[in-house]
Amino acid sequence: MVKRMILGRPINILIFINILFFGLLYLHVEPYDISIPIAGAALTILMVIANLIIVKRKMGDQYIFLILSVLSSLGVIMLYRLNPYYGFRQITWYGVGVLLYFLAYLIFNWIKRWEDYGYFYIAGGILLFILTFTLGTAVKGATNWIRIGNFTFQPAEIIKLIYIFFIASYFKYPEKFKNEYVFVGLIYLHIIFLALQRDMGMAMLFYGIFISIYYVYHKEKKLFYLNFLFVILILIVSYFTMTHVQVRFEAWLNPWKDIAGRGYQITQSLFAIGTGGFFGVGLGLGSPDFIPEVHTDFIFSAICEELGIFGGMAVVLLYFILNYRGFKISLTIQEPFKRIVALGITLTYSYQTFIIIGGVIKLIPLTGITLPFISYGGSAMTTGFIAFGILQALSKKSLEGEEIVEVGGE
Amino acid sequence: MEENNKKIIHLIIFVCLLFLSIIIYLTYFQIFQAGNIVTNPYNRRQWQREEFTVRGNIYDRNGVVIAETYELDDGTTRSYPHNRTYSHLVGYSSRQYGRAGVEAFFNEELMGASTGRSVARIVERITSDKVKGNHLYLTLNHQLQVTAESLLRGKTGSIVAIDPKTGDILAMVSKPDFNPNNLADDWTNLINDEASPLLNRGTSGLYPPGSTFKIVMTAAILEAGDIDPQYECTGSITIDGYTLRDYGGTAHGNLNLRDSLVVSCNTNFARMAQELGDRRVMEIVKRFYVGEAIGGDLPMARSRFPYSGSMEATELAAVSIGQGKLMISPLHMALITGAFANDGYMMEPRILREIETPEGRLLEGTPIISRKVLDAAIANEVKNMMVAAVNEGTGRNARISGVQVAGKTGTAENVTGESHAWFVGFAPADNPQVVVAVILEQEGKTGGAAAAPIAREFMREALKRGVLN
Repeated sequence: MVKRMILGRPINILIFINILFFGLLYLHVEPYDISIPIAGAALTILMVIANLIIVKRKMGDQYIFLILSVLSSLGVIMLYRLNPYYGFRQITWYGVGVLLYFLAYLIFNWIKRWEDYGYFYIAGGILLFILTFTLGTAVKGATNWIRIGNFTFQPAEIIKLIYIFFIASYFKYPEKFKNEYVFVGLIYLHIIFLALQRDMGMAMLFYGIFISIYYVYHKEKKLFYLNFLFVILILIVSYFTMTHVQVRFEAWLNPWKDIAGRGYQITQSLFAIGTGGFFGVGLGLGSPDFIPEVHTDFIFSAICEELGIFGGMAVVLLYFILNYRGFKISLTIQEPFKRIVALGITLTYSYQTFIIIGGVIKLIPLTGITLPFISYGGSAMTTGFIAFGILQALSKKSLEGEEIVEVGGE
Repeated sequence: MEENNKKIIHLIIFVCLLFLSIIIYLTYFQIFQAGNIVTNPYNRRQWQREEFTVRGNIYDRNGVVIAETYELDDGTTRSYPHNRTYSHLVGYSSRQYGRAGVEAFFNEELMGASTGRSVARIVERITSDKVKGNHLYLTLNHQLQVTAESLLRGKTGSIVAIDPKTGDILAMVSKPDFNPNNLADDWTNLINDEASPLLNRGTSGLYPPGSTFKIVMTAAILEAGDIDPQYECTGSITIDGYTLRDYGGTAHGNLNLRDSLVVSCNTNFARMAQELGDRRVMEIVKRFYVGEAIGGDLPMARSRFPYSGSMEATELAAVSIGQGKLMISPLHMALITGAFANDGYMMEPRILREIETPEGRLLEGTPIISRKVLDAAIANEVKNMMVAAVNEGTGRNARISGVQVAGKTGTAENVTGESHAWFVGFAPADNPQVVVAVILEQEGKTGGAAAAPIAREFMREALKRGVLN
């Protein structure tokens, strides 16, 4: 009976996890801070209500939102543990994100012909890039933030979505853009913009999304293979013209050579992961604050230190289930535009997860990019919710006509 | 559409592999790399523990304080009341410069871990008291350490004294040295000094043992039983076109085995080594753990014996007189000498005698481990020859009135041109209480002239005060 109460429905697992996490955090921070359980309760209630709406209104896939919520909860807890201010801000962003999730769901369903606006997507993307260059401020060596009043946001996050729509609309109506070469040229324009902003992580991500979708839909075999040549060229050119690319690469090959300098971030990250061992030192008992940028790029290292690499693997598996749902949705859609949008969103978050986790564990060179739904930051969080709100809308359509099996139904 | 589905499945497989690679890499990292990485001095977590811990004190075998922690209002401070006396062996524990010596290799014990007190630690954490470390009682005798330090002052080299029956290290001094209380001021000079003052020569200085190694060769010849030791020494011998001379070119005349050791005749030992052959020489050298891991509870440089398979005649000749590529640390040489003082039993070195937990419970330190390397009769026969070497031979400067000393000198040639002066020995010969090895680096004098008097003064002082108290 008890087992059934806790595990009967996935949402109960989420509630249970949140009670454990926030309870632990409450007991850990002295003096006892009543705002922690209140924040935890508010967050959990929001999750339960949102989940209820998705289930009752039969909005399609019932797992996506749950997984996003587990990831976000973990993010809020880790951020709260690092700095309560970040934790509270992140809860706010989560609330905004949930609103945008439903809004994206509604708007995506409401506007009928998304595939017709190919030109707008290109224009919008390029306009945002130009805005970034003219209004942008440099943060951590990359000029990819726009500041409006007290508020900063990262246009590349929005461009990411527009970019997927652009690719999807091209493959729906390829004749609109003279030929495939023009299309590929426009793709590289995006990537070069990102490289010029010195945002190598995003450039890598944009390339990954493109090449994967292109792999599924390309017509000219020669052009497809040429892309590998292009990317090698871009890598070589940027290695020799941009010192920060060299620095990152050398820090990846041997960070121990210059621990105090170039290798500082990555070695601090490895110390944290190594200290955590398999089971972690325990929530609140580690010293993840020794790692620079721990609340954004390096939050995975903090998770590994305190929850162990088993905790880290659990996070990786959650992302895997999330992306698996995305792939499944895209496989059930027949209409190419919607199918590519679903595939694009799924690939974006798969690759983004791999790029940042692979970077902080030194599997691949480190590039600054956020860990979806866990890292601190409004732009990434809200864009993520918009993207998956669209996926939710697509899942509803893909499942229409099929029998919707209620998850864990009685 | 069908083909598209297939390609999307390829992408799913690709993403699977990406995620799998993260999981595999994390596991690999944790199993094979993490252990080495977390001990890196740049990992500030190691020092963070220090803030919640009162590091345990270090005492000699009789309770003399060697290192202690003071609690101040704003933290703790580590102090070494005897300054330079214990510089290398006990070492230092400094946030800035890391750890060395006993402070480094018994860090976990001093920090209170590894004695199964996890419950107590949690209680201490919750009650916000600092975790208390264990106190260590070493095998050292403070009086002997002070004596050794004063005897070696101004020289370059090392003195190591052990108890032959237990392997307990009673004193170990290495010069030049440093003051662990003054690291912040002296550090730049210490690391730039070409004389390597931070190196513990006692455990990690490797030297050709010179003629001191003849005690091992003598044992080998006695064991073999088929070698005629009678020899007419002319002051030189030619082996494979290479001429080997006695010290100063002295012709020792007609010698038996005992006399050859007493006068330290290079030529006869080189000749006898040829007759012994490489197999038997290599066997006995390895039996004394030269070139092998020696055990014990403190890290020491492994002595070198880089020969395998077969040895050239000239190589055999060189090894028989402690030259060639043979390299041994002073501590190892003391342990080898100890086997002749202990009926053929060679001890593992031991520095940790007892651990005292914060609750006052005493735990055993490192166990005493002995290994038989020689037959007792052979060991005692060599011992008698070592007595003769001190009474009438090259070791005369080590004689102590009223006490019978056994020993062997060595004058080791090396690349610098200035020879190292060695003396290894023990006293009293009939009931050995202390073994000592003395090396003076690049002294340019013979072991009998330079090292033997230091060994004599040390042993005299030790026997007068009492070796163990």
